[in-house]
Amino acid sequence: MSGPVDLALGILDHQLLDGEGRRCGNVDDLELGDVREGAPHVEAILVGAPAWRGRGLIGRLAAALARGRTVRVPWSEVEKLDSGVRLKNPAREYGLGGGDERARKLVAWIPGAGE
Amino acid sequence: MKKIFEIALGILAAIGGFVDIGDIVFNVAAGAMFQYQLLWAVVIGVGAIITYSEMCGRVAVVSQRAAFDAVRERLGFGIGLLALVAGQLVNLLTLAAEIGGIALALQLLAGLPFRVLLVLAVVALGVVIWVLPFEWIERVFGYVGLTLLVFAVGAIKLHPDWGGVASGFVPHADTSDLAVYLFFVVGLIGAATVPYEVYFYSSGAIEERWTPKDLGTNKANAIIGYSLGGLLSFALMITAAELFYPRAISPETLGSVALGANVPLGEIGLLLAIIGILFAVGGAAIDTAFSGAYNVAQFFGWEWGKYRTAVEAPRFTLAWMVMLVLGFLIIVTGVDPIQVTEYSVIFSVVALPATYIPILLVANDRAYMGAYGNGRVANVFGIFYLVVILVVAVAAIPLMIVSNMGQG
Amino acid sequence: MTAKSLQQQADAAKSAAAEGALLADQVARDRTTEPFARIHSGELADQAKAAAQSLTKARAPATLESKRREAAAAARSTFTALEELHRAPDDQTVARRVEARLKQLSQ
Repeated sequence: MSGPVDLALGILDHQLLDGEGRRCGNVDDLELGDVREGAPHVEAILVGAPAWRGRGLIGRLAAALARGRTVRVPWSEVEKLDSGVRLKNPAREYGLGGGDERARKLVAWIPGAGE
Repeated sequence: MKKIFEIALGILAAIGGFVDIGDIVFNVAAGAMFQYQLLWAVVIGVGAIITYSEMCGRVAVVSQRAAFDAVRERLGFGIGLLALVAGQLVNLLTLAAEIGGIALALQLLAGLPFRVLLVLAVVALGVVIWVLPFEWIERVFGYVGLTLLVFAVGAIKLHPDWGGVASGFVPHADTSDLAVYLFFVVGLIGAATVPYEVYFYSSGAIEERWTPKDLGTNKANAIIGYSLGGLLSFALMITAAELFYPRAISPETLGSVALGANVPLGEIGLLLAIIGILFAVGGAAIDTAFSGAYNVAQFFGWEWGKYRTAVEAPRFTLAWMVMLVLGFLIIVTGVDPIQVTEYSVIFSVVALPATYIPILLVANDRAYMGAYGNGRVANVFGIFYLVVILVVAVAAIPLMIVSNMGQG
Repeated sequence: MTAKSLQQQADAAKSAAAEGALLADQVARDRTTEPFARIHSGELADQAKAAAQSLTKARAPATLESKRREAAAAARSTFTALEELHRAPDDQTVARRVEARLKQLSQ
């Protein structure tokens, strides 16, 4: 499933929220598909540092300096749009939230870090 | 009844939380150099922070977007990232100044070596943030910061020329050194509108889960709290105008500020003043460290929040820790904290439009804000202050150079 | 050294003297704490010392030379008085004497 492009452009740079309401990244770029009804449709949301390459000169610079993979979230996974882009399932199922996974190991050994 | 109590508490925290090292330095220096002539600039600054905070809080509550969510959405990735980097550099400089200020205050109390106190300050900040729940941080530092009211008592005791004070609220410059005068105008407005305060306020609104029902309370908090906080700035300026101006004293250190309470009120005035400075600047340091963490987490879409446990928002947690360490590293090099303060305020002013403009745009966007978008009053103030902020941002660096950082 | 920078250094020394007089007065009346008096008098002494060094080392045109020497001497005296206070931050007698001296130097 894909979505109309002006709807999707409206969600570019918006916060992604997973099925449990956790923040799991930003809409860094969009994957466009074939033209339908005179405009290209959006196939997927792209998340991750390499996706910044499509975001202008500064985006390319930032992508070169940052590490990470691009995660592709098909448009069909978008549940609804409110203050952020809400996805249907937990972040882990899409491969999102990895950065926090790695950072968790550093923080967890301090007493009082929580559950 | 409970509502009034809540508002009162919020106001108290806002008063104590309003003053930071930048306000202290600029208000005392302005009073010593220009007597009462710059009181009007403080009023402009207070008006700006009220307008900006109210908008930011409303945007956060209604659209559930904090300041840097709005910046990225409105400005896009590229320009938004520049705004983030600029904002973070300014935050770091401000944080370094505040950590230095804490150490200076501790030194005036206990007399220990400065570098030792720097380490103590940053460790204490880290422990407080780690251990204390979010609400308590604002309250404790805000309430104890209220002891700065000792400067208001002292200022009155010094029998100022109230006619002169009144005339200070009308902009006029009776000086041959116009560049220095204007530099202080920029500095006073900048010190009142430090960006970290607004980032912190908007993220706090989401953290504390304010609903549109709370908007009235929080408007009252902002207006009354910051206005009364402005009174503290007046007290600092009037004290310096009474004590330093007639004696051609140019205050150079935090000790000079404390002396301002010592002379009219003796030892008790001295101690209350130093404790007030310690907690006001300490609270500001915490707000700044958090604001840095909020900004970067919001921009990149990480989980964030003090209400989250550390393992729920690990990158956010690491971010404020890194802020504290970097701030410490800047100030431990031995630079004069007062000078760092002056630079941090001036650079804050230059970076201010980068966050103010997106907020003003979002506050007017009916799609985000629904019925809560800017009304006519909010826009009149919003646009007036946009002009003020742009003028001040453009003039800041040239004035800094021409006036030789206010030295003339 | 220009006339302007000479004036600025002289003013800086006088500022330290005036502020030192205020502080010394508080010490003499036992209205401060020892750490505060010690630290702040030290800060003021450093200010006076910086002005004194700048004035002593500078080369001034002939017209300003006597003024430079006068200002340098005043700054040095200011430094000495403040150092005395710094060494005895809770001695009321010393403070009273230092206050009188600094008041003179601040004129």
